[in-house]
Amino acid sequence: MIKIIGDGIISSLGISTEENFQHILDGKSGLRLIDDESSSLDPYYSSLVEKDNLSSIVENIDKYTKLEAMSIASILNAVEDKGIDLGSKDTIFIFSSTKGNIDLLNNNNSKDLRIRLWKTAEIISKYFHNENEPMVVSNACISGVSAQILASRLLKSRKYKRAVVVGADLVSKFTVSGFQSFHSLADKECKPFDKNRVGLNIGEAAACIILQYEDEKSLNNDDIILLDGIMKNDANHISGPSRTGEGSYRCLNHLLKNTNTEKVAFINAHGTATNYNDEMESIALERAGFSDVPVNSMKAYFGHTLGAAGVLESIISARALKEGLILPTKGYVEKGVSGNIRISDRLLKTNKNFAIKLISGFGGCNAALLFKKI
Amino acid sequence: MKQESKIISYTYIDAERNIVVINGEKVFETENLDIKDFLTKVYKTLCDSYPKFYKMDIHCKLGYLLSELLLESSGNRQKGIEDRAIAVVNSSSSLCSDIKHQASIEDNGNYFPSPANFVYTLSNIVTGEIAIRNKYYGETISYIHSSYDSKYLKEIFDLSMVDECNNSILLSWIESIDTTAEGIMFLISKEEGKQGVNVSEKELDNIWQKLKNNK
Repeated sequence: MIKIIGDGIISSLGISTEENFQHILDGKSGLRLIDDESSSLDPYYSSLVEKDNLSSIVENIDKYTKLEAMSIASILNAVEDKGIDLGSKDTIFIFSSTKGNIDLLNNNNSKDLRIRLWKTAEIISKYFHNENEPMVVSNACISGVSAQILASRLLKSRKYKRAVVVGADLVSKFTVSGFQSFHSLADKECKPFDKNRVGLNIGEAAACIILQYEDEKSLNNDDIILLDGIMKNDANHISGPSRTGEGSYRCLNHLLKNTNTEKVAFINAHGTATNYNDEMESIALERAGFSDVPVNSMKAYFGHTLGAAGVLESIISARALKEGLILPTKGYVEKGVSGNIRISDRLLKTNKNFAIKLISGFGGCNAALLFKKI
Repeated sequence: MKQESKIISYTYIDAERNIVVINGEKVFETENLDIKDFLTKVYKTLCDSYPKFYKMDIHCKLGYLLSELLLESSGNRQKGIEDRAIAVVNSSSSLCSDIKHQASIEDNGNYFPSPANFVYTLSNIVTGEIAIRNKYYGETISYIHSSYDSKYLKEIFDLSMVDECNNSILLSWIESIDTTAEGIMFLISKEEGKQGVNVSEKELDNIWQKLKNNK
């Protein structure tokens, strides 16, 4: 069994999982209006991390870029005082990001190794004196979920005992300008699944989840395990989701081999608040038979944190499952998708034991994870 | 019944050296074309018409051509294999398109980011292009690694095969930056009755070394 033994989040909402989770329960959002010419010609809503806030956490922080410092801090938060030896040979680091240190790129430095994700991953794992070659996955917005699936496979094949999965991405002029060129950024806080949604916000974060292989009999009540994970492609379009939600539907359908819809407390959807994404997910969820299961999105708390989203949102969902809570979808007021689904709009209690993380990204990729509370 | 995974077929393109190799045999070469013109020449000479090709960036063109030539040569394009997985590895991600996007935003007085280019600033788009072309709904994944490394390729292949859904896979190393565009793609299957060599680190290394040494 693959058990979550530690987790950490660095975001605009806080520099620990605890702080982030509490702020969500309090209904706070990390999104604010950013008016800064170095990242965008026009003001935009986003949620940003201050590197300075990490200087008391990360040793010799000046040696590290902002992305590296955020990643390291998220790992430190995940190990905390748990006495986990991250330098040991049976620990593998898996780094997931869409763009890594993309803020370092300018027109003259394409040879700089630090903009290569494998180099970034090496710098992060070296901080923890881990000698294993880190694995790096860059799979658009599903990167953080892909990384957990790979971790789970590595642990099941018993190559390693534990995996440190880190997802991280920055908000930089590079990404802001790109999403602006797609006209997919909202001019206010995003409204996932809502009738009046007008687009997404991007946000920056680093999140770390530590997974460990455990025998079934050594699990305790309330432990959260990653029971299953799956990736599927839409085979439809490189930047537009499938109208039938094909890949997401196939992912959800696959997870039903290990649970049924009645046992699932909630589904944490991608819910980016773009017209196409939310519509697509509603269709996939209805097709897979999840019409009665509460669906939430965390994008109005953090924005879309790109390669970090899959890890960050899994951590929050696992925490909610552990505490028997179904989180509300901030920003949501009135249903604005055609699929017959139930959007979670208030904090609810649950005694169900399963939760699903659903996600999709450019390149037609989709993925889903199934978490279970023991 | 499933058998041990076998390398059914492989293709190799080095756009800098202007060569195309299928299963160890050089099937096409030209001289003195730059990488972009060479890839277009390969497309026009060896592939079926697929107008989306022209929209792709260098990285995706290279991956697309590798997959087309591979699937044609192996006679193994579709038929009951919609869950085929696609895994690509490279070192520089989508740096070619990243540089282009960066150039379009660097100067606020000359600011022209394009969505058609921005979408290619993700290293996994090539997997999507191949999935779309062939209606493959299987898993698609992009890994980043410092160099072609047969041990690593074998490891990510093994990881894909942990999932029982994955009966066959297109496994590829594709690297493009500046004047370089070089890639190899393997079709590996564990379906019964397929002929090929067993997948091993040694085999993946032998094939690569031969291609690199073939002047």
